[in-house]
Amino acid sequence: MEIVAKQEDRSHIIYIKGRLDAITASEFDRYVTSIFDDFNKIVIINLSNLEYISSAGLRSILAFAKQLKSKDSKIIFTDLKGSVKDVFKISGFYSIFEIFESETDALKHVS
Amino acid sequence: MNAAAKKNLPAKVEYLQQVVDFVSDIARQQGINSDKITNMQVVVEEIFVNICRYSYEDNNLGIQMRCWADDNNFFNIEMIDWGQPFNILNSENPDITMDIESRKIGGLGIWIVKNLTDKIKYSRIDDKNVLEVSFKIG
Repeated sequence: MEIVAKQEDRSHIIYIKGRLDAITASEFDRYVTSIFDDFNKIVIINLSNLEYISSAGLRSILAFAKQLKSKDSKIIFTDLKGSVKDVFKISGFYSIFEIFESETDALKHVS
Repeated sequence: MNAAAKKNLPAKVEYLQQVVDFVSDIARQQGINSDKITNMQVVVEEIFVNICRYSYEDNNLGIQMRCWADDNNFFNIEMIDWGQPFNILNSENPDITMDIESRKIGGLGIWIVKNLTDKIKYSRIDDKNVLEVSFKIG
C-alpha cells in the first residue's frame, strides 16, 4: 500500500494505492498521525488506484474522519469503483461522506 | 460437483495474504470476474481476521479452508476453526445510518460478510465452527 499526498489551494489530496486491509491499515494510521497537524483544509482522498478495502481499512478511515471533524475539516472521496465501491455502499459510507466521481468534480466543489 | 481445493493455515493475521490468495487462485480458475473475486477476498479476510482475534486463547489450532464451484452456479468457501463457539449469524448489526461522530469504529466486518455473500451457513459440528459462504456466479 502506498500513499502519496499533494497540496492544492483549498485542499490536501491523498492518493491511496494498492490494498487497505488488516495488515496495511496500520500504515495508513501511522501516516495520518504523522501529518495530522497539517490538515487544516479539506482532505480529498482519491481512490482510483485502491484495488481493495476491508473493514480494517474502513476503520482507519473512520478514525481519521473523526479526528478531522474535531478540526472542522472533512474528507471527500473520489474515483471509487469495483469492490471498493461495493464495500463503501454496504457500510453506509455513502451517507456519511461526500463522494465524487472524479478529483476534478471534487475540486470544483471545494472552490 | 468439482472437487474442493483445501488448505490449512495458522489462525494468525500474518497469514492473511495466503488465505486470500488461496481463494482468488481457485476463483480465477473458474473464470469468475475480478470485482467479484475481490469481494470474495474481503469476505474471507473478515472471517479469517475474526477467527484470529477471537477463536483461540492459548492453543492456536489454525483454520481449514475449502472452496469449490457447485452445479447450482455458486462458488462456495468453507472455513473451519476449532475455537470457541461463534455463530456469525447471531452477531448484532452495526448501525450504518449513524453520522461520523456517533459511528462506532468496530462491527463492520461481519456486516460486510452478510451483505457481500449470497448465502451463509453456520454449523457447530463436534468442536468445530463450520462456516460456509456462497457467491452466485452464473
